Formats: sequence, C-alpha cells, structure tokens
Amino acid sequence: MGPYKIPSNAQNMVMNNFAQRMNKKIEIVIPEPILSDKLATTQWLHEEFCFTDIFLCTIYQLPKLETDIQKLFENLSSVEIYFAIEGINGKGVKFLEDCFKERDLFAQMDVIPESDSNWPDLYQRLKKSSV
Amino acid sequence: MQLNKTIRSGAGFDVVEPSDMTTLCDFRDELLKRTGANSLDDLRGKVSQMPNSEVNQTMVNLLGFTEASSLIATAFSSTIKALCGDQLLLQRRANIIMNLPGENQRRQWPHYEMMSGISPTTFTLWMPLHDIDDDAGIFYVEKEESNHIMREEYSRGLVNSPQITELLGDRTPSRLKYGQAIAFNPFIIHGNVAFVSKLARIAVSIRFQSISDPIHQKNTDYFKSFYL
Repeated sequence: MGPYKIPSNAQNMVMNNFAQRMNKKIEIVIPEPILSDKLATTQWLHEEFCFTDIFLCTIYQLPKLETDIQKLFENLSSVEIYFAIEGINGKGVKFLEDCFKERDLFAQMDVIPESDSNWPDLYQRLKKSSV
Repeated sequence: MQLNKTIRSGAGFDVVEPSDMTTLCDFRDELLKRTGANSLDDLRGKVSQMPNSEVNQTMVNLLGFTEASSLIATAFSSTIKALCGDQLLLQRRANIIMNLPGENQRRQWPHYEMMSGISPTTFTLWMPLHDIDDDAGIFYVEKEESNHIMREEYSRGLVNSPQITELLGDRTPSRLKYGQAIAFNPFIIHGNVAFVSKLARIAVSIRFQSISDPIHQKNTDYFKSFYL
C-alpha cells in the first residue's frame, strides 16, 4: 500500500486497535484482492450491509483511476471512513477528495534513497541545504 | 535569514519566540480542558503524583488532541516560515511530554532526532508549557560537537548507542521562560537530566519540513500537509 508493506495480520491489528480507540467494534472483515485498489468487494458488500463505518489501513489504499474514484464517491460518500495509519476519519465527497489530494501529494514526493541513508551522507544533505 | 543560517549551518539550534501568543494560549487552554486541570501547575502537580504507567497513558490519550501540532505551528509561524517557507509537511500528532522529577525518571536518553527516520531537513520545535528555571529542561549540544560525536559513534558501528552518554559527559539544561521554544536541526544531540522539583515538567514538540524537500522514512503515518 504505497510505501507501506504490512502483512495482513498486522493490518488487522492496526485497524482493530484504531477501531478500539474510536470506540467502535468491528463486525465484518473484508479481504480485498491483491493487485487491485478498486475496493470493489467493500462497495459490493456495502450494497447488502449498508455500512455506517469502514476502517481502512491507509489513504494509500484508495483507488487511482478516475473511474474508480468516482464510483467511490457515488457509493461510499455516506459512510464514515477511518484511515488507521494516518489516524483520520470523516465522510463525504470533500473529505474523500482531501484524502486523495494528500495521497497524491505524498506519492509524488522525492524520497531519500536507501543508498544515501547512512549518517554522514544524511548529514551532508543538511549541509548542502544551507548553501 | 539569520535564524535559518544559525539552525542549518551555525550552532544548529536557537531560542525562538511565538509570533502569535493568542494561539499559544488557545493550545494551552485546550490541553487543560482535555486533562481536566485548572491550571498548568495543577496539571504538573497531578502528573508528579502519577505512576509512570499513568503518565504514559495520559500522554497517549493526548495523541487525540489532533489540532495540537497545527496550533503550535501557527503560534510559531514566523520561525517556521524562516526555516521552511509556508508550505509544509507537519507532524500529525504533536508530542506532549511529561517528565517526572527525581532520580531514574529521565524519560529519554540523549539522542538525535534523525534517529526516528525524519529527513535531514526536518526541524524540531520544543517548547515547555511553563517557565523552566531549574534542571527540568533540555540540554543541546552544538553542531560541531554533535557532528564529532556522531562520527565517533559511526566509526564504532552504531549511532545513538548507549555509549553516547559516556561521550557526552555532564550537561546543563537550558533555562527558558514560558513562550520561548528551541528550534533545532535533526543532528543536534539533546537530552535531559534528573531534576529536583515538586512539579512535573510538561513540554510540547513538533517536527516540520518544507513540502519541497525529500522525505525519508516518515510518510503519511507521521506527516500531514499544512499551509501557513
């Protein structure tokens, strides 16, 4: 999910912990398939169960294709959505749009590569920034 | 300009003051409301009587004060703009730190902020919520010495190891008035010492960087976009 590689059992722990802190109890656990960010299973089950609250791990789980984004707006904008890693929740198109913007912002940021990640090299980056 | 130079390439840290005291007071008032305290000294007194587990739980509960980092950033907007401009990545959840007086109560070993995985151009603002006129504060080690210690540790194989305390020796924490904060870069060693007092020390810290700078290990888990 974006930069995060989290085993599914750890994802469950993270989401369950966040739900607990939000005074919510998880009733249904939905496995979404690999190689897809459509949240299709969630939206399909929402038709049947009419969820009031949905917990996700991170905003990086949100879809990228515009058609999938629009489906999410149509189908889930009445649901309170929680993102455990970011610690945020809200509902409605505006909230979701803000989450997409935030996700896109971070997704395009430069990341210091591992090859530059020793202490002296990182220190050089600070020094160069002051030039 | 001068602040930017001091913190990036000079001593590495400096004392700064808020540009918006009203917002700072709003932050303090909200903190008191969330902790059920009548005043800061009331809160400090209550905390000083708590066992460590309850202190930890109190700090964890305050992670729900999600507006805290935005309020502090707004209060110190001039400082932050001088360092990073007005388009930031800001720490989502401010750290509200409660230190108990007495021996063996030092909560944090001397360290560099860099150890947490923030980027080299992420800066920290640390502010006590009351006057510090004893050893309850934080000591800071200037850039040249911090860099020397870092290189010595690196040559030994582990930076921010337990050996850092023997390399540092005795240090004296800074004295500060309420409203003053320390801004510093992530390679400045800092820490605290055991102190004697009837009251706990309570402080808040936030981390921020320019949106234009690269990130390191911290991502949406730690930062949010924020515009001054």
